[in-house]
Amino acid sequence: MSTPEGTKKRDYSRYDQMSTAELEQLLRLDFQASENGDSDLDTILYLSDLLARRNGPSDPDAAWAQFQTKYRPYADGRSLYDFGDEEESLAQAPPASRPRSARRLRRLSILAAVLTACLLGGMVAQAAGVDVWGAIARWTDETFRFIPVDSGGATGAGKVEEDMEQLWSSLQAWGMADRFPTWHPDGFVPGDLEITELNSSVSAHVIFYGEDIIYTVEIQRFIRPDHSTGVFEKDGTPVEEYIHNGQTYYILSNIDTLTATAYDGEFMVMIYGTLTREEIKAIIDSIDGLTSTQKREQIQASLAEEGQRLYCPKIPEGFVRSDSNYYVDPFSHQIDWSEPYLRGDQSLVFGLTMNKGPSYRVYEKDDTPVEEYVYHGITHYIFSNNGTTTAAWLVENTEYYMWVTDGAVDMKALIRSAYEAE
Amino acid sequence: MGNPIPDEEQITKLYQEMYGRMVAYASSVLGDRNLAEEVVQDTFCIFCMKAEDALRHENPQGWLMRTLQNVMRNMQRHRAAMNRLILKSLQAQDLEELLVYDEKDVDLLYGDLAARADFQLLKRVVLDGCTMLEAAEEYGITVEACKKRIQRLRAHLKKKLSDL
Repeated sequence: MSTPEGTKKRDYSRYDQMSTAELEQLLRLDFQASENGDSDLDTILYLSDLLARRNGPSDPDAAWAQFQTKYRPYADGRSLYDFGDEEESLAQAPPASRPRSARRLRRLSILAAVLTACLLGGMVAQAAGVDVWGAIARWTDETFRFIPVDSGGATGAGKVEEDMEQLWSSLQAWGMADRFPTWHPDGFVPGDLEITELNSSVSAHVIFYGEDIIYTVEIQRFIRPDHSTGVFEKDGTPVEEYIHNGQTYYILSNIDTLTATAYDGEFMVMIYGTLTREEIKAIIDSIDGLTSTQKREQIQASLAEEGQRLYCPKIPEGFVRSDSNYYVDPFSHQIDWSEPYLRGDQSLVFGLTMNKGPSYRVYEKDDTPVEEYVYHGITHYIFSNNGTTTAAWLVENTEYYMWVTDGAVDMKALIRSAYEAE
Repeated sequence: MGNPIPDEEQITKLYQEMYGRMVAYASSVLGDRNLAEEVVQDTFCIFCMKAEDALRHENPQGWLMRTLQNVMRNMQRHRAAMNRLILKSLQAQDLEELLVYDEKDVDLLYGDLAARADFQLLKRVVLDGCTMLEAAEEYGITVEACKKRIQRLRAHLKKKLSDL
């Protein structure tokens, strides 16, 4: 294959070292960012040639035969998808804004952890047990939660918007929640989550709509891992490298848009649209991306700052940690951390929320009584719900919880184990 | 049928040279090899119709790549629009009534007069991700007939849905 025209004088060798996935991603990003046809064709030709050679020999003769018999006889100078009208391009334009509350964006990561499915809005106070830190445990036949002493009872627990819950749950189901930004600029609301499954990858794609601008968050997970080093090479173009949680994000500008992308060999994160450099960095900063160990160290450090320690139960034998979550709400500064474990079809989730104000979790429960279990001077509230048992308790301003499949473990023994180190 | 071709040999040579890299590029953008191959064929169809000018272009390879970009954008836009049309149709209260062509709109040239059959064809292309050629061969028709049937159904559905 000959060298493309116009490529002889320029040095493209830096691309030779990039992985196939990175090259494909560069081409995809360039395509998305160059609506006005302002992409560098020489570079595209070089990269395409590189990919074609890596993909192995194609069969242009067979393709030519197909072209001559199946396509060319019907050529009329217009694309197969050119139906002679232009209205679709107008219909494609997203609405300038959508009537949703920006508050939903801030809630995105509060919905983390398996317990998301248990959160409910609204309740009617029925029974109570006074606890330390000025909070009262309240429960009904359907829910359990702590509320501040001075709240006067059933105050708003904060409505959990269904669409955001669905978005977060979907991202978790695809194993992408930890890569998804949890903060978004004020005035933007999310569109629908679009999942695209290809042979080699799965991608999640969400557009955020502002008043008259949009930006997109896209996460691509490669099912067949590439032999990538996971780092984009820096070239001579004005690309800014921004490091967050040890991951390098490359920020590329293109006229009035910015693109930030990072690739770790399995996940490719892309954020692109009409954003300022400060905004795109703030969005990156809200991406979790920590290992489970790092998350645990983070929560221990956060607790230590407030003179507390992490009361962590001894996880029973056979349970394997499946994931972990750590999230700091950029507005309330509330911190959520949890670790889900699996043992066959049995689940165990241990987590906590460091509350910065009078806001507590709401847990789903059935109509069986709540048991108060006092140990280590702390009242632990134990209740059941459809084949699971939950325990919740307060240590100063920190709300701990555990959620287990019925019969999997002795909940009280598990609670006691959390204090054994003392 | 296409216009007279100024230099068949040049076209063949350019096709041989560019086909692999164009498919590699389109596959990267679209994430689908079959669709990539079709947009490349589609691009060469346009090239052949405009070969006289395109071959005189200072950079025919660049001309092809730029046209390929436009074809891909066009395809993505129209597939998304057709997807919305299908969803809207499926949400219509009486889909059976919707999928009947008005007598005066029926184009006898394309054989199958049933809007329902055309709707299935459209779904194969849009929802199942088939290329035009794959759908055409499945229905035993040409690519041109496939395009015409989809075009006819689009016009019908858009009119009917806007009347609802």
